[in-house]
Amino acid sequence: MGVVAQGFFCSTEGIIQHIFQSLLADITNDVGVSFIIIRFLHNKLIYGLILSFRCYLQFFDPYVFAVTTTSFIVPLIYMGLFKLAKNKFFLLVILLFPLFIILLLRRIIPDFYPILKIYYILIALYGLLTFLAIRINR
Amino acid sequence: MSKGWWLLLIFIIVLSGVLRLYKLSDIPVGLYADEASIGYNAYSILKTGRDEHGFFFPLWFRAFGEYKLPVYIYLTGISEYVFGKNEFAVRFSSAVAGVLSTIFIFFLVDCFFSKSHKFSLLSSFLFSIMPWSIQFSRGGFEANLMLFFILLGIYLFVNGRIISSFIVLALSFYTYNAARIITSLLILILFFLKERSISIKKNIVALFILIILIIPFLIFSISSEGLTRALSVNYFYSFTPKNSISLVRYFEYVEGFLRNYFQHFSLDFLFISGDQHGRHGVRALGLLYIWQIPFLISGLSILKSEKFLGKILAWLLIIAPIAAAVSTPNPHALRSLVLVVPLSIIVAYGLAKIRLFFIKIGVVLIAVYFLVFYLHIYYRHYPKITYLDWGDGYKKLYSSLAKYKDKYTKIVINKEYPQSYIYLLFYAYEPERYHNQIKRGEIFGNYVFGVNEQTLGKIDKLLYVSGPNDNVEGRLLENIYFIDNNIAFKIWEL
Repeated sequence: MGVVAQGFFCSTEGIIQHIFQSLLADITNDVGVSFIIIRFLHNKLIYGLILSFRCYLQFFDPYVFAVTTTSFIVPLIYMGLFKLAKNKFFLLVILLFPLFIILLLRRIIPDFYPILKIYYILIALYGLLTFLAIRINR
Repeated sequence: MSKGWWLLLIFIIVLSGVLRLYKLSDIPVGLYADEASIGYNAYSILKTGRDEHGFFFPLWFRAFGEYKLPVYIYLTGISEYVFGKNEFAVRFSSAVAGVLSTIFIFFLVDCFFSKSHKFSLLSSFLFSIMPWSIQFSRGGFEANLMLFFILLGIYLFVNGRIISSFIVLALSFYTYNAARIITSLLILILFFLKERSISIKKNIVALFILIILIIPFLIFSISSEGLTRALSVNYFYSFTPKNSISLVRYFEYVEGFLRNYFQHFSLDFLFISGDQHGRHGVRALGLLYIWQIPFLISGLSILKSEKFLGKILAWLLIIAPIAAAVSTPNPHALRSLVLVVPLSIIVAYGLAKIRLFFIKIGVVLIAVYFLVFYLHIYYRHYPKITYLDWGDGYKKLYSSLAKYKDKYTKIVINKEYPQSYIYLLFYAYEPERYHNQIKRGEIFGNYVFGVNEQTLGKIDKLLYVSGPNDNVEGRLLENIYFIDNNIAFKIWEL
């Protein structure tokens, strides 16, 4: 993608706008390249998938965890996530939560940041409990 | 190993070689200042036995106010002996290190999974096509050579050749600065994890040899010269805590370090955007392929394995970003390059678990698509968007100035280009001539660096090289263009 989106937590509108910006920038660089190759490599489907995936992945990103909460609890968030993911229901919740934020929550509450912070802290607390349980069982 | 496996390994080695050597002189476009410095110092050693500053076979090479480590420069001397003084020769050692790393990843993994070579070959294959490895194999990056020494060191250690292993690991100290942290920690870890079968006598001998070999480096490291680079990029020096209470300040330092550290595991950094520095990535794609994410998660189970490989991979994951996290800027793909080894092997482990045929076919198709996409970006887009990072234009500039140099008393290069003298040396100067001129106090002959036209005073027959946006009172003789046809330099007669 020629142009890189700045900041965290993109929106669907942002992704769509970004697809066209990126496509334009990349196709402009491909003067003299066969039309088939351009269409094969630089197309809305691939760019849309990559950019949407990028947006989605931010909700599982250690750096985003660190910035949203504090660096000290990043391992605990992962521990909590991995432990929760063993339960199919919670796995579904974890996987759908970013979609809930991107598609719904940020439209209702533009400043959804504190909610996300609480979400991560709760997971970290669960991670801490898991960690302590493992230590005690040993 | 059967003939079929050997053929596959040979195919991977050839692929790795092609990906690293094809159009190596031309892409990346130009040479960046450190490459030119390495290239010239290596050539100078080859021709005169002295470096740019006249030191006889030095162990540390002064360059741009800092000191470079010797191994890459001496190896470049050998490649320049074979290929001549050119871009290909400067990058050749790094490219070969990339290919050799591909081979040794295979042998390392095969030490533990020798019943089926599928996992070893997959690890080797993934490393060979990994954008992270290709990027740094195609530039004169000492870090890529360090990575090879680290891999070879681990391989030898695993095979019980502890003395050879420590000799190779000692070499990494003399190759790239990040080894101070990464290799030091790795040696401690190897000792901690080592097999008990290795005799105490052998351990002591290996440790003794290691210490003897790194004594010069240790002395250099604590000297003011050795600390120059470390201090200039040190994160803690540039970081200003918000709080004045000492305990809270320490807390802030640790928080900042951890934040830097976790940036190297950022999914955006690894899989989507990569390192935004033009020399460290293609900007449009990540350091690994996006399709590898599920296999990375699935492959993480190797870290829990009781085998030595699982433990060493886990430790490599932990220590690889430390050198990058204590320095700035962050995240830094070059200083954390060692991460590519455990990540390649973990993804390969995840891939090796696939059982269903149609999923295998799907993965192959997606992998081929993204490899083609990456190569297209690398060869078509990358040169046009990062030429400024790679010193494009200097070769054309000095080849043009060669036409004029005897007609003018002075050729002045604008002070906006303080490192441009190294390109003059690399492209247009023989070391013997340069050393003789230094003795006479002439340094660069009629070339003058680091001034602008206002400070020159009145000189007859003056040639002036300005930036693209400067307008100088004089006659414009020629424009020098970048690869995208924008003006890089203007040559004026004043």
